[in-house]
Amino acid sequence: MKKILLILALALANWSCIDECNQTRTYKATVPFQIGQEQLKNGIVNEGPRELEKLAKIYAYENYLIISETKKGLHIIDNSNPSNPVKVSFLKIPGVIDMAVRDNILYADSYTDLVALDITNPKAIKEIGRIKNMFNYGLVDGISWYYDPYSKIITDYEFKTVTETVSTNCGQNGSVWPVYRGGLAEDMAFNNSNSGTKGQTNSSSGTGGSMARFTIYEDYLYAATQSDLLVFNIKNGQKPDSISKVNLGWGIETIFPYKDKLFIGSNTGMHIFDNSSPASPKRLSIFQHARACDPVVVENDKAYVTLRQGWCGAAPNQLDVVDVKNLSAPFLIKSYQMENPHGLSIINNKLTVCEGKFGLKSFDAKDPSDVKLQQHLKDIHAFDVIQLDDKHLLMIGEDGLYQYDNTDPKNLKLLSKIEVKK
Amino acid sequence: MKKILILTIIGGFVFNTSFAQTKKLFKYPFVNQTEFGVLFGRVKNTNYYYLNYSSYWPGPTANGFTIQNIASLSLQTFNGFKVRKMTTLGFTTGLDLYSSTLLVPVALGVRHVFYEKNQEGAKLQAGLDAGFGSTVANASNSYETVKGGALVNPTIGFKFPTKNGSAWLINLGYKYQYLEITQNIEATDFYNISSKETRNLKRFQVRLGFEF
Repeated sequence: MKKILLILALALANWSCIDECNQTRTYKATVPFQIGQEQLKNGIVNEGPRELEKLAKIYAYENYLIISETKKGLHIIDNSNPSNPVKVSFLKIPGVIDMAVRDNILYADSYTDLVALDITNPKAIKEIGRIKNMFNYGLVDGISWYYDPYSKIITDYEFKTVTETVSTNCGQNGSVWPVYRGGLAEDMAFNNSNSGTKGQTNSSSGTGGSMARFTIYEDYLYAATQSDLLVFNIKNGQKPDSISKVNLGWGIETIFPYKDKLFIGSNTGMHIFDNSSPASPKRLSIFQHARACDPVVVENDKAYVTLRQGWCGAAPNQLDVVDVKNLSAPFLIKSYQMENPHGLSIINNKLTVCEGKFGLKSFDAKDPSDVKLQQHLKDIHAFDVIQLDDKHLLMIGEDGLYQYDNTDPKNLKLLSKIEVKK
Repeated sequence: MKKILILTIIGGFVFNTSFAQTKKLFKYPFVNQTEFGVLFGRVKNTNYYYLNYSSYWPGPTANGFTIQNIASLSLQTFNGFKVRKMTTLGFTTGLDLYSSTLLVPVALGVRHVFYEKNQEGAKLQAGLDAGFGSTVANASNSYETVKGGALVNPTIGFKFPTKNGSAWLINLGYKYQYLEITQNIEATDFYNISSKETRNLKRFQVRLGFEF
């Protein structure tokens, strides 16, 4: 009896009729950080080779492969023997995404600036030129950065995993806290949509892959921002000079130079520019398609465009073959059904298409109205491909950089693989 | 399935009534206490300020709160055997209609009369149910998964015997119920990794019922 009373007294002392509800949630948040002018300038540092991570773009120059790691720097890889590529060094460049090389001078973006670097000795790369404030904003991997011209400060964001506990109202109003969706992210896919481009020039420049927002044609470097095409004169490599700016509209993804034309892929269509006077490219036509992610490659007056469902749009997954013989009036030859096409590359009618998680497909494109599947490599992730020559193929997936011997498109031979840290 | 279950539980209330007719079936006398109750509680709405309205980050700052009174229904039936003159042991089930979740308590219970002036007069009765709140009857929601948890329900109240051996009951009690709610986040969701809410529901309970 007394015990019961005691227990009841204890219970009375401890109870409360206020509910206690706590929610513990873990999510990725975009956390801002700022970069000043000095940090930007002093950020370029030579370092020893390191593991590959978060690959953005790939560029082949002579026997070297230059791979950019989103906003961190460039990996230089000696690829003299494709069966055994050797990591040479890592060059830290804050905010780097794109690059292009001509005559041992590498042009890369570093947030707002365009920098020219001498890569004669890849272990000791020197900055030789810089044009300030050419780019004012950017968007990569779903994160945008911007430059404030008044404070001269760049604000960028990074993803951070946050865990926090908040008290809730116990679902009293019929809901738990809403799941947070969206954010600054806009276009994840745009990092993955790429195609090989070949700088068509007499002097020695390299082959760009991935995205290729930078390309070199003769003495000019073209850099596409989200909305504009910037043209730089690089005749004097040490002093690149900005000469013009062409407005392209929104959603620019890739530049592909073909003969004296520039094919610019945006997420609503393919722009064709006449580049016979390289300092001021002129728009000839636009081949419009549904809003989608769309890398473009061109060979023998046929343009190959892949459309896929992604963050850039909701078009059906397909490969369009477009006749561009008459550049002011391109027309569709045929569309082919695809699974989830990303980057593609063509050389000597050997067409290779990355299908994301569905693998890599190799086609025979001799007859554009009847493109035949030759081989389908499954069980690998593929988002971008570059064919360096008739028998050498570079492919990037989520887990590595693969090199294949493409002599027989029916039987691709794996030469080597460099692991990418996930 | 769930409808059948709810029907079974409600059926149980009716069935018990007919059960009363069969006496001396067991060694100890069978006791049924069926009660209807209301759970009264208070919910705290903490006000949070977010620096950046487009994102949770940086973390919120709590700034005061508002309190809301709430009430919900509860039905329960206790079935057991009178093992001592004053003590009954048994099993409790029913329905607890919390505003966000419908729970079926599955608990072991004890009722003990600890004070009576005389055999025919009103008695003071203490009760304790302890067990688990099951979510079997709760409507499943693709958005979240609800897991039931521990349940403790001490009561104290009056028993008013009637002439035919039955009794009216008035019980006052406290009900503690634990719940765990996990948000179902799709694998394709880039931003959200996990979200789990723990609920400690603490309610004051008033029950009216009948015993035979």
